[in-house]
Amino acid sequence: MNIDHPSAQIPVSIRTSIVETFRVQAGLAVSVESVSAEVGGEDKSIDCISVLGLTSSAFLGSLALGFPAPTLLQLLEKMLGEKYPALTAQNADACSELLNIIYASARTSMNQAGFDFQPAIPATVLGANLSVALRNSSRVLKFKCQSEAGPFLVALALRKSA
Amino acid sequence: MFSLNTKVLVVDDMLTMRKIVIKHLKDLGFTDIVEAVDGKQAYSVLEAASPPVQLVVSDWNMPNCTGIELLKKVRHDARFAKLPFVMLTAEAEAHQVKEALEARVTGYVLKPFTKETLQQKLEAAAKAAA
Repeated sequence: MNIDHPSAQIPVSIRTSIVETFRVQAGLAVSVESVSAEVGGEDKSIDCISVLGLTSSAFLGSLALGFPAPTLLQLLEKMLGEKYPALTAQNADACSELLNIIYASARTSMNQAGFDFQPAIPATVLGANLSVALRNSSRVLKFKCQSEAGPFLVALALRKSA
Repeated sequence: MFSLNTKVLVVDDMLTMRKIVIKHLKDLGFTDIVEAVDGKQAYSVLEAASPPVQLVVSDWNMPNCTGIELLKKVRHDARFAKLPFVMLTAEAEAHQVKEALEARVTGYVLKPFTKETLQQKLEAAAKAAA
């Protein structure tokens, strides 16, 4: 998953969609504290991560949204008005739903800009101290986000289609 | 606006999103709310409900039977042909909105959405369905 000359429109659309999704759906102000292209690396303290595959005629890749458990639990409380003691397979679907909204919204603006990204279905993994394993020398664009519910991460990996 | 006694069917495969929609509906005053996890289960609920469901709020992307498939099925069934049907989806591309309109959707709510947006769209849907 390499970033090979990605159009600037793609990360801009995703960043805008992250902020808007959390503002509207969860009433949460989110700041994207840094966007960095990293080689490999581990994302300690991610306990729930949703990933979807990106497909278009120009690019292939993946988009992921990951939360530490305390952040997602606070987010659930904010959205649903009830406290949850722990993440479960049921309530962790919030991660998948938020990624779905982020991607659908970003996809609309990316496709209006001339791309042809296809719909995708997220898969969610629940665990402890998860990290995304990347191929050697692969790079991923990480959006490190901060909110009053806590930190979370969005990761974008792209390469040109063959 | 729909009467607050309106029986509402909320259809979404994501538990969290069903809970969000139901919370908003309850905050708006609706009390009679049933739910389904996909279009297939939703259709069974529509057929079995007594009193009948009077408003459907459905996601688009779901396994088994999608929201758009459910809408088309409902519109081809004389019993439900005029049932108000609001699509609640993250899908905003022009061809998808066109497909929903051609299938005679009553309202279209884009995710992300607030309680206020849902209320406005339900008010518009009630007028359209009158």
